[in-house]
Amino acid sequence: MLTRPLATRALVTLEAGESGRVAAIADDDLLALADVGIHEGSRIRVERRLPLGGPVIVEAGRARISVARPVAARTRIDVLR
Amino acid sequence: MALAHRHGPRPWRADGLPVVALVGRPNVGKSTILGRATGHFVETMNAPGSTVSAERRRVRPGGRGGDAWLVDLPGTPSLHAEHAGEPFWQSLLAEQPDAVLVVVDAGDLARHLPLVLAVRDLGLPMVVAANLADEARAHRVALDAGRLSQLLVAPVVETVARDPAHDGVARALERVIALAHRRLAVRAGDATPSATRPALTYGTVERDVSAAAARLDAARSLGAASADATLAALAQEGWISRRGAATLAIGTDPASPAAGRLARARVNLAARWAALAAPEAGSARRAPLADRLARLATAPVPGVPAFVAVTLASLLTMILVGGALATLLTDAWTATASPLIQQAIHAIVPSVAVAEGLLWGLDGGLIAILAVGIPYVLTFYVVLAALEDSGYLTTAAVLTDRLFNAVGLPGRAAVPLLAATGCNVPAVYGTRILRTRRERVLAAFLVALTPCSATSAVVIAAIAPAAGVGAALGAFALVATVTIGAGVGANRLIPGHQPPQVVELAPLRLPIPRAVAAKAWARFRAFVVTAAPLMVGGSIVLGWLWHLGLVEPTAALLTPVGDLLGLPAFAVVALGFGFLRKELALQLLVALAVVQLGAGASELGTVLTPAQLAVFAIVTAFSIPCVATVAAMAGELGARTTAAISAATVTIAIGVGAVVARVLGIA
Repeated sequence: MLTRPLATRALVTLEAGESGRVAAIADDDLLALADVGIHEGSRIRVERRLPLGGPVIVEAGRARISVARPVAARTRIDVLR
Repeated sequence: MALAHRHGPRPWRADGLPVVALVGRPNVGKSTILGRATGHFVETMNAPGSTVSAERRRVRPGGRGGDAWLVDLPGTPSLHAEHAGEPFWQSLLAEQPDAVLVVVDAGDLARHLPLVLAVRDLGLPMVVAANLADEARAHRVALDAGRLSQLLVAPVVETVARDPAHDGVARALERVIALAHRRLAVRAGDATPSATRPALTYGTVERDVSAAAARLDAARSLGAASADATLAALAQEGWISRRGAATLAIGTDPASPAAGRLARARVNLAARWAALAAPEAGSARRAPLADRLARLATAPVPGVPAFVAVTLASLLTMILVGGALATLLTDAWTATASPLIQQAIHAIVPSVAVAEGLLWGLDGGLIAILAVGIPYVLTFYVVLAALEDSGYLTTAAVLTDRLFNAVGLPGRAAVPLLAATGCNVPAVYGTRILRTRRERVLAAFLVALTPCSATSAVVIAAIAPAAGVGAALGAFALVATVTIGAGVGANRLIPGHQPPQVVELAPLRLPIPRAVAAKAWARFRAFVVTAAPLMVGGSIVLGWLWHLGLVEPTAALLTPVGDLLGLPAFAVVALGFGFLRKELALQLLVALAVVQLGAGASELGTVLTPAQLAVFAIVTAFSIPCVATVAAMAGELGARTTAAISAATVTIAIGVGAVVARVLGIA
């Protein structure tokens, strides 16, 4: 079932508990994110953002992934809820 | 690309047995399956990237499968992901597998099936091991192995590799080895090939694959690039299907639009098939306790205090348990074996010099092993194995991410660096999980400065008995501070920048005592086998040198260094022996004390002052890596880089030692 996204935002701006689909990944980050199974279209949920510029922890499937802030700033998410 | 020479006869076996490759995403349990299959310990860790090179074992699982070689390859997210400078598919095909056992997480098929589909497209016989089936059930994921098998046109077997009572691994091996034997028979002309082959089901992408195959044929006729020629040759020889070669031809350029479409098609298909074959039965996606603990562990509070507590608890366990064991063992030795050995050697050997040399090795050397090697190293290996098995190391990597960024490394560098606290050698190999040479050099430099279990044993055994536990912890804090400072400096000096990183967190699991004990014991046995002859032999040689008066001239040459560090020259000689093995430095100091002052002098306080022992331990912690680490580093990074790293560590060791000596008022 397709769900209309509420908005498209950078992953780094999502709050804990927000989820969405990966809309766009910067070329520099394609391989690193593919290595952990995140592609355009992958569904993710933000678990938390660590303070002091720390990484964003997201859930993708059963996996928990730590995404560095710069990568999270470049990754666009279609926010679903 | 240097494929041609790698596809000759398999030099590591000439027995005509089939080869089965183990393929899967990182941390899915391949090495555990290899260990189960062979009944022998295989280095495993509940963290991505613990296997960094191919591990080959002969297996005899029984039943109709027969014997075969099982090859455990590094975990990979895709066929084109790079490992040690080459794409994974090259590493896989270099093993010339007759069949592939693809290991997946039964509870997370959507992320694991794209790799299965890519392997299937190579045209090799394949069995899928749906591992972690117990965790999948706990997360209410209902895997229908039969349905998945129908979709993939390949056998699917549920496995729980960590559970010795579960027979899934044996069944999966039997199936895949039977397939591999059949493939060998087909190649020998003793059997007819199967009429059915799995069809590509990527819709429009299949047209890309067909077009690529046509381009590959055309390139071959023109004698084009060696990569294409090799791929075609592989297909012609039957190692891969023509479609597989075409798929690889696309895969060799992962940035090409066709490769992107193929990857997306696999991801989409994997998501559909995962929903069909392994639907979630409810909303709970993880075992609640493991889930809650994992989330809490990465929260700033209580995650960071817990990280500090775990680190301190590990060190304290080593200090307290190691110290108690050391006292127990040395007391028992000096009360029983030591007098007997001394009497026996003096009775049997008439030459005093020869007898004294033997005593250095057989009494002093063994006391040193009992006082330092066994108690502290064994204790540390148990602690490290428990941490590895729990999956906590990647959590630590995330919590220390910002710290690693300061030294130009990604959080994933925590895996080799934490492994370095056990032994620097595997940690040097572990730097292969890093993406760039710059990161590898930086990580290897920090590995060389990180106290391994042997170095930690030296620091604790030298400082704690004489100056107390607090002083020992203070020494570790100093070592950590200087190491971070050196890393920050190296990050500024070495050209380049650090790419931001992405790390997969290992799930937290309760360590299995048997697995922890097996891992700790296997490492400890390897340590004793390597260290004991070195220690005894080194002690005998040093003993003879001492009695022949040859140590004094050497020590005299080192007097300036001794003056700088506030140490007697013989202690600097002992420091030099740390190049053979780190613990050897302190053990030789103990041996020296025992021979000079009698068996009761295994207390180091009788040889050096507490301040001198602290300087001795700190210099040992930083100084040149041991010979095994140097050899590993030279192989991985080259002689020049290794020489530069070694020179830097010696400079840091002497510099920090000299400062500490002045602060403590001994120089």
